[in-house]
Amino acid sequence: MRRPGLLASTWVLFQKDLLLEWRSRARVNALVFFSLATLLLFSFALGPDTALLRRNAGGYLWLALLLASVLALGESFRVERENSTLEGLRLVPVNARAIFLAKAVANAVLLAGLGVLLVPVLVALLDVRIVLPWGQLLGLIGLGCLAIAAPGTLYGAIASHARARDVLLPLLLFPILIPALVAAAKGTALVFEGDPMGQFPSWVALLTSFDLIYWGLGVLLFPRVVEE
Amino acid sequence: MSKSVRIGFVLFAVALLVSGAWIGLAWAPPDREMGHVQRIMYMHVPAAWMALLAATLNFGTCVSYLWKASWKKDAFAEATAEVGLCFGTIAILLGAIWGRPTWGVYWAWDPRLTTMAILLVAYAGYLALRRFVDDPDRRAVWSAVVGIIVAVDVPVVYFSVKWWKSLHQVQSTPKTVDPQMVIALRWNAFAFLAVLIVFLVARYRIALAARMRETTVPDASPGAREVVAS
Amino acid sequence: MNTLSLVLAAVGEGRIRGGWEYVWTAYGIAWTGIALYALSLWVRWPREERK
Repeated sequence: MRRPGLLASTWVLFQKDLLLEWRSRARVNALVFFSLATLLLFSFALGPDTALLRRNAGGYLWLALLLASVLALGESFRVERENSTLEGLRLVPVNARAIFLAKAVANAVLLAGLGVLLVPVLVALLDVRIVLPWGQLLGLIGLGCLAIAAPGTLYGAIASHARARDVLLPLLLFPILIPALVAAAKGTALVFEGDPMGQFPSWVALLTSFDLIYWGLGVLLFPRVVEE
Repeated sequence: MSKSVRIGFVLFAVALLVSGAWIGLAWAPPDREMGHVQRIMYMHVPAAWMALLAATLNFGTCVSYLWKASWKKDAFAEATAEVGLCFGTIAILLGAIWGRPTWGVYWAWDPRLTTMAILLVAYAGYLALRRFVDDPDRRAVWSAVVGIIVAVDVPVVYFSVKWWKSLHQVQSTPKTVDPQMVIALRWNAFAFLAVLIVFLVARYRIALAARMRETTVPDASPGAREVVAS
Repeated sequence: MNTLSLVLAAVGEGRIRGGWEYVWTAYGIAWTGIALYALSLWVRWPREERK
């Protein structure tokens, strides 16, 4: 049997991952409520100075997404581990890079969806305004979630097979995500407050470089992570 | 390497360190602006250099391991990460102490400090991963992967002062610095290099011994697997 | 007293005075760190197992 091509495999696996998420809507709902709860926590812990909250809203958004991503990524691989599906896929045989691409893109889509959902919440809770064009905010959310998803999927695969996996994933992921976090949060803050000095493109550039580097490394290194 | 050579080198490293301290504390002149606080640089800068050197060695070893696996490489990767973390912590602590009288603060969110802190926490994560994976083969492969990912930060740390003109000073060249200070810095740099070598060799031996213990099984038990250090 | 020394007395020379306590703290931390790590290596040094 001819081994399916990389793009074809990726597409099929991506559909599978999204279908799994859709079928277990309860998990997705839990993720949404977790992020909302996180935003509330930040507001209470750092409020009630509304001007201060509004200024830091970009940071809160990305912190909420980051914390939610740990749950999402952990779940994404727990499912695989419980049913030994990764080993099954490798036996078909499916290109490991397709597994990575599909999972990472699915995780990115899930997180981006979450991000878009949280924006109206921020508008309501923290009284932020969207000063720059909408498209720029959506693009930033997309780039930022891609930044979380690539190393997140790679580390998720590693952590799911190690001891103390719930602690190991954030411990490994958070330090290296800091540059992306800074770029995304600063960019979002500019979207909410306006960008008189034209700094937005440089943050986007930083985020894009981050994405290119880590997606490249992910595609390169994932096969070694899941090999026997 | 015979025992006497090893002990000799350790004593040599200690001698360099002690003499370097005297040079830094007494022989070198005080700075025009920083006064005696400048002397902290003779410890802070070499520590930072050694940390980055260890990180670079770790990256090279991880790539090499993925290319062709060997327990020696895995042991050396473990050594460079831990020793690098040690020197990096010293560097960042000394930087904070230096920052108090000069910048007025122990810490600032400037790119070099931030990226260096990221690097240290990332290597702590690397060491935690090694501790939480029991299978030696998987531990070696996954550490190599994580090591490569972490190493992306190393050039960022090094070039951060050039890319973003923020608080931490740009690298000085010897041409603009008092020659006595240059000597003091270079002497201590070599002292720290000697200490790095001693630490790396020792930590490597410890790691390799642990690897051998994990992977050689007494002949009597079923499924015995003997691995020869290649 | 001339104006220069008056001004200098007010403004200072732009140099940090003393600061030896910072220097000693820094050197102390560096030496302690190196010593502690060396000790940890000594403690973990593989002793040959006797079978």
